[in-house]
Amino acid sequence: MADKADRREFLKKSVLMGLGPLALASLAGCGGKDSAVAAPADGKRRKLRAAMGNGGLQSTWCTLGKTTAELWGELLDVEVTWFDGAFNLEKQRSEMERLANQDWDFVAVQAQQIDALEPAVRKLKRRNIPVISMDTHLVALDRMREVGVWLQIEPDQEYMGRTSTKYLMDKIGGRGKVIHIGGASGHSGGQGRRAGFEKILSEYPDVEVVGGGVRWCDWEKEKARATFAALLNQTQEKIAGAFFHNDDMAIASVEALKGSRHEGMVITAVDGQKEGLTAVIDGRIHATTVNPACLIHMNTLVIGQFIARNGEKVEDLPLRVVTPGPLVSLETGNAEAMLYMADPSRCLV
Amino acid sequence: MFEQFPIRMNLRTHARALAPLATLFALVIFFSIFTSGFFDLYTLNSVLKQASTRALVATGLTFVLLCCEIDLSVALVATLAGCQMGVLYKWMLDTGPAILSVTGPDGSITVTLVGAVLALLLPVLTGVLIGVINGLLTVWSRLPSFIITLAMMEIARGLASYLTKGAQYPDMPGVLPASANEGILIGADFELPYSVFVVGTIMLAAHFVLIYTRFGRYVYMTGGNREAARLAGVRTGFVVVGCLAICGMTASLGGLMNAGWINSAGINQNLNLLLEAIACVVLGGTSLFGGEGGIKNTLIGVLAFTVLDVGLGYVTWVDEFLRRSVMGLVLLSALLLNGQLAKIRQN
Repeated sequence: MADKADRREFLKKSVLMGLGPLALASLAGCGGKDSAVAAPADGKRRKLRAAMGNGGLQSTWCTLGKTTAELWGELLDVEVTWFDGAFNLEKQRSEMERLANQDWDFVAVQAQQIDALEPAVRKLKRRNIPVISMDTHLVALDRMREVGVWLQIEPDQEYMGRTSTKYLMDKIGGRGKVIHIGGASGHSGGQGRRAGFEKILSEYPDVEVVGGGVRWCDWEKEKARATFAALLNQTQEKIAGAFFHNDDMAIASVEALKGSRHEGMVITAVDGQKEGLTAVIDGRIHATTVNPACLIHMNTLVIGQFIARNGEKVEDLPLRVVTPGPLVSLETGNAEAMLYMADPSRCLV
Repeated sequence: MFEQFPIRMNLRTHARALAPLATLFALVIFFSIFTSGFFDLYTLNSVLKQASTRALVATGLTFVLLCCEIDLSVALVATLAGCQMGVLYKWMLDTGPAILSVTGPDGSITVTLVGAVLALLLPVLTGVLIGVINGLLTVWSRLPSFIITLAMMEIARGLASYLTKGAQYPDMPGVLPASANEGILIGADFELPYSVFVVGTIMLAAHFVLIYTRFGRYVYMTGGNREAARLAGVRTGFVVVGCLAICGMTASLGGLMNAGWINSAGINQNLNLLLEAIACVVLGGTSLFGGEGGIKNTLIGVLAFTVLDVGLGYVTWVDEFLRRSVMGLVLLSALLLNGQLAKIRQN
């Protein structure tokens, strides 16, 4: 019993530190009859059924999440049924309603909006099906357990905004003009990254944001590029740098710098997946902070199967797990390693 | 042989009306056979709930299409209504005067009945106003309603963004989430959503107006042949304004219903509502060129579209990335079938 409790404690800590895969490997090596990943006596492990879905497969982050779930689902003997939110609140709610009437070992979802899926989650709770919330909060943290959410797994949006902005400020010497291109104003990711940016900005009184503040571009590359180009034309003075809420918008926009008086400005962003990391390595952008899509989806699967196989109770779990992501730049020297980890054939970060 | 002739004629005459019904039955049968878990009372409950917003918006759109116009602003008018309601309700909770909100003995603030009614009524009136403006501009400028309502769509989007500043508004009159999410339990397994009664009342009223009132007949006349209607003494401009105003009203009601369903109001809602509502009306057999169709058709169209939408979720043998294409293909087939049957009838 003590052995089991120790392992559980170790698992919690491991997940909290973003070391889900290592914990998994360690536990697999531990053996014992109650081991979460070891096969039972008859040599056959029950294949679990999980329903997973995120915001919309139009986004690189979400597609990577799906790839991760399928890859790791196979490794963990979990049959993952994917439901696409298609960046459409009503559709996601409709899908959740359907899932609530089917049998699952656990359900995991990245809600597009807080509270929108609550009635469907309550139905799952009545049927004793564990629900794991990824990224955006399904409901407010203090109501999660009452509604039926067992666990919240998320990145630290504000931390990502702060880290990339701090790098930007250091690179420009803490003075000059900068551009701030935001995601969607109503999205918790956009709000958190904006808060992180503004927190660091407040420490640099000699830095001015062109256009007076964040320009929301709804995560749309075309919109970001057009907005960025318009802001570049607003000032004769050389703009020192720009912070984008995601890599896709940054990569699409840097083309606008070619041949302009602002060429060479420092560009930082958030997401740190394959395209962003490649852009850091080839110098198109200077730094990105990893928003660990794979880690979030993988940890969700790992924890979900522990819940199902070990019969863990909701009170055994932490309410919130934050998956960290590092800053990646040529100076930090971790770009190649991150690229290896982020490759869709591995889905490790 | 001679006895069969009238039946064949009858089938031809009703071909266009029967096609949507046949589509609906075909979809139900298809999903019942080829998916697991579709054919049960829980799915019926889901279909009825999810059809509510579409049905409300499609009802107004039916009037507009019947008089040979289009309203592209419906989805954003719906979103604006939700946002307006959310912002208004929040304002009442935060700083509203005593008639609108009261503080309880435990310090909690609740919105009064007057406040709740206002929060629901003002967005609907805004919708009507937008519809009237759409209509007046269309009639006065003689520009296609396509262009006018396209511009109005952007205006509504801007207003909704300005009101919400991108934030979500989870507080709303309790009647909204209750009517959209709850219902009357019939037996042990089936819950008839309250929204069915709201939608049913609106659709019944719309059907009555179209079939049994002079205004309704004028709508069909205006859509069938506007010049002939005008020469017959119908004030076609008034009819167009009236139809767009009704459309604005039902779009707002749809927006409120959807806010209740989603449990909050915000700018990122009703993204596909415009195309879905148009698809529902056309799938039901109402002509895009006016003068033909009605609320009964729209009801069938809404049910067929929602069954398709919900049913596809149960299909596990279609790649997730292909799902939307499959939906488009089925929709296209149904619309082509409708078109062919309409031709048969004309011949």
